Amino acid sequence: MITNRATCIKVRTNLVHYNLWSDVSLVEFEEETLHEKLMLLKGKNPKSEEENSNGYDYVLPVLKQTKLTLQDIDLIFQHLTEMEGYEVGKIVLGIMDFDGTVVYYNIHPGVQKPKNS
Amino acid sequence: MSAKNSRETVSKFTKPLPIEVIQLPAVYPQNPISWLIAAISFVSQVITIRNKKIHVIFDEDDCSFKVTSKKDMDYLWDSGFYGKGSLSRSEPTWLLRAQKRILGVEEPKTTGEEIVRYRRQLRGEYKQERNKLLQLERQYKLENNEEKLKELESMRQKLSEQRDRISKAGPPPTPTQSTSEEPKKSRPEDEELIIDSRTLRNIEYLELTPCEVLFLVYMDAIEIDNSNNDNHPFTTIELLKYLVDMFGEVEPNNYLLIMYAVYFHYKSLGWCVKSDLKFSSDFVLYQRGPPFHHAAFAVTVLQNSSKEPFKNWTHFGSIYRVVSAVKKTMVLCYIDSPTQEEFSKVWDGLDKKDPEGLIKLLNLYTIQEMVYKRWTPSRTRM
Repeated sequence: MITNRATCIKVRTNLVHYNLWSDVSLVEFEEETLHEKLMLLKGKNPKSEEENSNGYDYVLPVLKQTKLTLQDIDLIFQHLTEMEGYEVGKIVLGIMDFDGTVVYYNIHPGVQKPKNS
Repeated sequence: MSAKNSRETVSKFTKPLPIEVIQLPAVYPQNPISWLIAAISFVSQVITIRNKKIHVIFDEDDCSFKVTSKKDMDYLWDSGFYGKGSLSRSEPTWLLRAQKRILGVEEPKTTGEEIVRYRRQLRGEYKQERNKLLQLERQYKLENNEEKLKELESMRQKLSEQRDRISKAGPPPTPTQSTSEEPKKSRPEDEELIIDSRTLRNIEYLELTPCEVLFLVYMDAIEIDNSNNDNHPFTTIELLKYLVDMFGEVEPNNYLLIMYAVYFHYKSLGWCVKSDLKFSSDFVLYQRGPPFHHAAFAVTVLQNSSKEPFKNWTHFGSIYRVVSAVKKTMVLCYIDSPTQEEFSKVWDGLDKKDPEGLIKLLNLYTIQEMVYKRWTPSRTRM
């Protein structure tokens, strides 16, 4: 099956050359309870409205059929906050389909006030 | 993509499959000239016909099927809308957009992505106006100002007209406003792509889904080298076995088999089938293809396997919310798979040189559809 790394590379290309993010780098960490090494992408979204987290957004690349529990997400938030030295308040799920389509969904730790749209 | 159903669009996409067919004029047995015309037509078509099959690269690192030559990408897209540009919404247009954005090259062609961006901008403006209206309304209500409240009616009318115009908006008036307004900052990521002031390195490729490659290999339209077999091209059955294995155990409810059975079902009924993660379904169905109409149906596949977790009504309700917001009909596609015994009988007898084995296997599955729609009692009562 498609490896984590390969998914990561594809999502990275999509972020940089389709969504025009800049300064995209890889954040990796080991987590015993999760079987694989976790990989996230960190970068600057030109359209980002949030002022905190130094202007960086964090993207977790996953495949369409990847299973992700709330506990997993919670662990990722903990690790990120620890590694980055500030409270990370949002991660973006980059879900990839078999034709290379990537769709993005925001995840916040807890209830978030909806944007007025 | 700008002018839907324009004569140009209709004449460009005449072929539903990337297969060349020789078409001969009518031959009348008693008229020797008609024989001659047919012979000339045959010879000239044989000479000009594209006789090389499209070569698809299988990238084992990320398990994807790629077409990199511009000519082949266009050919696959134009004849049946296969694949997806790796850096585009559907048709591979990244190079065109990047040339405009990075090099400032002027191109008369408007891409789908640019229209989408323009409409989003219009929608943003509409929402701002609507918020102003809501604020005024609240204010006047608090002041109990009946007169002013009535005046708002005309504003509301104008707004709804503004909203209706958005979905019909064609190409943006000036060469995309955002590029001209924003100060041009070059990104280091873009600099790496520049070969010279007029050329960019094309990093986009056309990516085919496993369902599409299996279908196109079966139709004998493409070939894919099998690195495990001295780079001999995959036969249909070899590719089937490889893909099934890639997606799990060999069993009737294998993810690829289920998805392919559904894909092939709609393909053979003449639909243009594309994958549909964006609207939380499995497939979308276009009557002819993306340039003509929007896809009116979103298909959610449901299997009879006990392995599949039960999906409750909240799950379907959530999908319906998304699908109905983009004005599609939600189709629940129930697929019944054979027993392991029935399945193994056909699977074990597959001959790698006989592509029809694939059809024998698919014939073990039955498919039934149902449309799911929300019913609101108060709105339906006459």
